[in-house]
Amino acid sequence: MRKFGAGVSQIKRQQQANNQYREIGNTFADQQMEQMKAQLQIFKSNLVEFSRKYRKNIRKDPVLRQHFQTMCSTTGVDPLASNKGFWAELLGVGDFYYELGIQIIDVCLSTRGRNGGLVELGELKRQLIKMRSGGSSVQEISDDDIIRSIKTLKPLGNGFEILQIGDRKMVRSVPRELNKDQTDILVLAQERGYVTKELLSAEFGWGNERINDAIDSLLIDGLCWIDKQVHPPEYWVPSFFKGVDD
Amino acid sequence: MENSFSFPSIHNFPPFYTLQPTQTTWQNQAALWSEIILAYYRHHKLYRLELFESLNSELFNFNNNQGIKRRLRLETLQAIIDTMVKRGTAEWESPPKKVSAIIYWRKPEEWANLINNWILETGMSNSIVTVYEIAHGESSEGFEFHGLDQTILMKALDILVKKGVAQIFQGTSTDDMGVKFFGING
Repeated sequence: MRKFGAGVSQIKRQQQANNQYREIGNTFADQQMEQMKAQLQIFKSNLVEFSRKYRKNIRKDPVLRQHFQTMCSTTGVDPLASNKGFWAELLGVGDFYYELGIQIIDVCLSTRGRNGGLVELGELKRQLIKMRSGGSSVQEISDDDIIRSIKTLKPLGNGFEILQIGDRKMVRSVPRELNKDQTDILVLAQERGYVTKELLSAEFGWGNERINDAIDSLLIDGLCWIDKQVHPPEYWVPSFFKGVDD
Repeated sequence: MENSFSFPSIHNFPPFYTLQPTQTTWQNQAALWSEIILAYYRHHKLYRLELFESLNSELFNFNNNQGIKRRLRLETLQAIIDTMVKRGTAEWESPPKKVSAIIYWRKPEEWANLINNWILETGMSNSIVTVYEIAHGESSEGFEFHGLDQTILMKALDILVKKGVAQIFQGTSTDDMGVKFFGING
């Protein structure tokens, strides 16, 4: 019988101890939380100060912007992911990339008819600079900015992608796969701006059927234009023709 | 050259002179050509396109210093103008012959509005002006429709008559036809 009584008081003691532990635990967590909050506050206020001080430069200077991006990503913060709220309000950086993204879409769509939805990165940059030069403050943009912006377009699922073709970066705005033959032709076309069937045969040793298939598919996709006023006919890639999108 | 038109870069793109076999590419090509034609005609204040003659002009030719020479073919130009006719920016002069076209870098309705506004602004309502005065008179100097092609001018005036904004009095020739504007905002 005694045993039973002792059992109850032991359980009670145990409960009491547990409660105390929990309390201590809670205070400890609270303290940690307070510390975290304080640290975050410091971080925030530093960041506020930094961004107030350098906001203009961040928006203006592509190199600083890239460093800023790297710093943010190492601290696990992505200002691009938050175009609303704290980050955007303070830095306006998210806005910068979204705005650029809209302009990229604009250029890609308006030139799609003539280039088949494939724009060379340098050409795209030239177009963007021209488009943005209307504003009061001209902000420099870098290749890195364009690439970042295109990544922010990903969630829209509209197939914007950066392809490496030969030594050039191309922005593709039509969700379509390029096969190996098509890619090879595009790489070869970078030399002169065009290819001929004779060139393809000499360069790759392909048979007529293979050449015709590849060329026809490029024509159908609008990635190539034919020039019949020369012999042999030339197949031009508008994306490689400087200024074609003006 | 003074007052020369600067062509967009695609004017130097050699395949731009070959009718593209892919339908979507061709639609875009035709639209680009029509933009260039309209801008060129607006720039030089031209209204009529004689096909055979104009195929020799800088508008439809491209030569560069690497010896590349391209010229638009007659059938291609005809196909381009056909697309403009569909959009209302051109009209064949004597169809079904496709040798001459009127180019509307402004549509007749727009010309009609410009002329009526000019009457309202210059206080010439209810007086009679001749067709010649509208297009070539001193009072219209500096206005966009000064020098306007007579065929287009007559179309614009017809629109104003139909709207009840103007009345035409026959003369001995088109030039001295009289037009009375009622001073109503069309």
